[in-house]
Amino acid sequence: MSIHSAATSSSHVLRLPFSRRFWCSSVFLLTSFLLGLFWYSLLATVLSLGEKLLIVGIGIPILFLSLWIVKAAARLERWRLALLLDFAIHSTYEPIPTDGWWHRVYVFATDPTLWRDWLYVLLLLPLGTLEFAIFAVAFGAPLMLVAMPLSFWWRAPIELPQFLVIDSWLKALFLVISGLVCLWIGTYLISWATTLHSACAQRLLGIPLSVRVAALVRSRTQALETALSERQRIAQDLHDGVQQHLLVLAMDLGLAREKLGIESEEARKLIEDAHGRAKHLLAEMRDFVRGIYPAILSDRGLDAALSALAGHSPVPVAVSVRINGRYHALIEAAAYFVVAEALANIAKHSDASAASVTLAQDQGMLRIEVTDNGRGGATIIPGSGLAGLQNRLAALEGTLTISSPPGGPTYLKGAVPCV
Amino acid sequence: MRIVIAEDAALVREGLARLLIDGGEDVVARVADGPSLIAAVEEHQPDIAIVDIRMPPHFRDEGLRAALAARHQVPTCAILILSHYVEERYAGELLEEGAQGVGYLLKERVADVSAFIQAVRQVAAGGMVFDPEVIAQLVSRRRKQDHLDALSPREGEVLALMAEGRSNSAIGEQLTLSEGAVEKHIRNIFSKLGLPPSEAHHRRVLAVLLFLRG
Repeated sequence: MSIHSAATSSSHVLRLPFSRRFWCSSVFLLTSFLLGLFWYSLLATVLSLGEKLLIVGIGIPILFLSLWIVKAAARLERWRLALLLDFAIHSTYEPIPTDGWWHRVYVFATDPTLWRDWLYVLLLLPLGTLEFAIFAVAFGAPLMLVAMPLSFWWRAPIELPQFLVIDSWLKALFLVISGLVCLWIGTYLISWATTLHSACAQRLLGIPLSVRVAALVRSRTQALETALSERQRIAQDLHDGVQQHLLVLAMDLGLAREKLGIESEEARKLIEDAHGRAKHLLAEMRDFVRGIYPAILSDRGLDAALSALAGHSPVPVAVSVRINGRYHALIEAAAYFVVAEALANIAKHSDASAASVTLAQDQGMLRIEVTDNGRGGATIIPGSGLAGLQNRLAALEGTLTISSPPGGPTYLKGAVPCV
Repeated sequence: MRIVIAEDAALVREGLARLLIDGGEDVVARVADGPSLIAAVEEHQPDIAIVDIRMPPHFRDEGLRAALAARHQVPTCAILILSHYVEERYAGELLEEGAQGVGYLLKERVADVSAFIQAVRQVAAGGMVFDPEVIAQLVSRRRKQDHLDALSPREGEVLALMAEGRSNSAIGEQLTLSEGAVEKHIRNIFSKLGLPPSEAHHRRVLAVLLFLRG
């Protein structure tokens, strides 16, 4: 967005006065002044007319007209900034309701965006004046210096001071060179002025930063909630579909096994194997669905869900939970999956003989600590499950860190704001 | 034995009924949600209700809630909860209504037909059957509980098997101990948990309750 950023390499610097950007900027500065003058006079006329006619009654619609003028001016300015400076400014007005004439007027006239447009249009004249002065200096000074040697042939009608009288080729050459240097300095002045103008425009014509941040936070939370409810839906679908059918299959095979006598040893063996495989598949499916989303988490919260998690861990886990009640589903899910991933890693890599999980609320933060007495040396590798969880916590303004010197012990610490 | 089945998935419901009828039991009602379970139990006064924990409308713990409500109405009805996942929290809530004639098993245990029917009979007869998965979860939360820390590891194992509803001889078989040794461990458990000598079955239930509740 910065107008300065183009002027970096030396050849670029030399070519600057001949670039499209430079000429567009110059046109921009000049039109700023003219438009500032135009809008100022128009609004001054409309406002004073409206004020004078206020007693008659048609003053109010005339004053209202000034708001339309401001909105039109702001539209034109956004277009001009985009066209000449490639500076796109996004903005949103309150949507005008379709019901009730008064309601529509009220929403239109109280839109904060419109009133910030007002400020911008007011600022346009002083800003334009300054820019016109800069434009005049940036173009006038080099033009005058380059033009002065012409007095060789054409003597000015007024008496010039001695040092300005061109009486040698050397002096003329010096003036031309300083004129070119001035032109180069002028490009910088113009560039600075357009930067100043774009900054003002961004503040007043654009969406305020606080509003944009609020919108981003809202949309991010919605995205996370969508992802979570998708997980819950997938788990539910698997539970209702695959798991039930698998269960009936295992039941039928179990029944068939009971019924089969000793007359067909081969068939009995086959059914026994199938029965065993179906049971194995059921257990695998149970773990798989639980890994997607454990129903107990939404039913009974973190404490209950972590007990179950610890119960499934091959390494003995001591669980200590000191929290008050329930948290937002996103926070509970993030904390749960951090512990789940940590315990899975401990079981797979650590050679630990004991682990502990602590969950505590402290100064508005939910703190998660998972430790083990294993061999240490664990890191959060990009792309790993832990890195994913780090991102997940970061999306909730939380953190995840690991301390795991070779030889252990390993401490995995997570914190996430929970109020 | 008169049985009520509450399960929302028709396939599983019918499968269960077929299995139990095949085993010579009397399935008096098959229902698909909580309110009909309560109504069926009140109407048929069965020996046992076999209940899926997740049922409509929210597929959370409606089955458990309804089973406890039904038990409140008809205290003689035993309850066997079935679920694709077992959770110690639900086990604790189930036990709050009393420790006789309750059970909580993973659904997949149904596939072992004779063992499952055995468990149903055990619960209907006033016994207590808990899935080894629940026991594993409880053991993992045991550190909180001082009075259970006094138990030796072997005594802990014996108690966990008691909670699964095993008889002394079955415990001995599982741990390759003589029945006498099992009895000795159980006496130690009772004394360490401070349970006064009384009718043996009652003490056994109390010990398991302490173990399950913490």
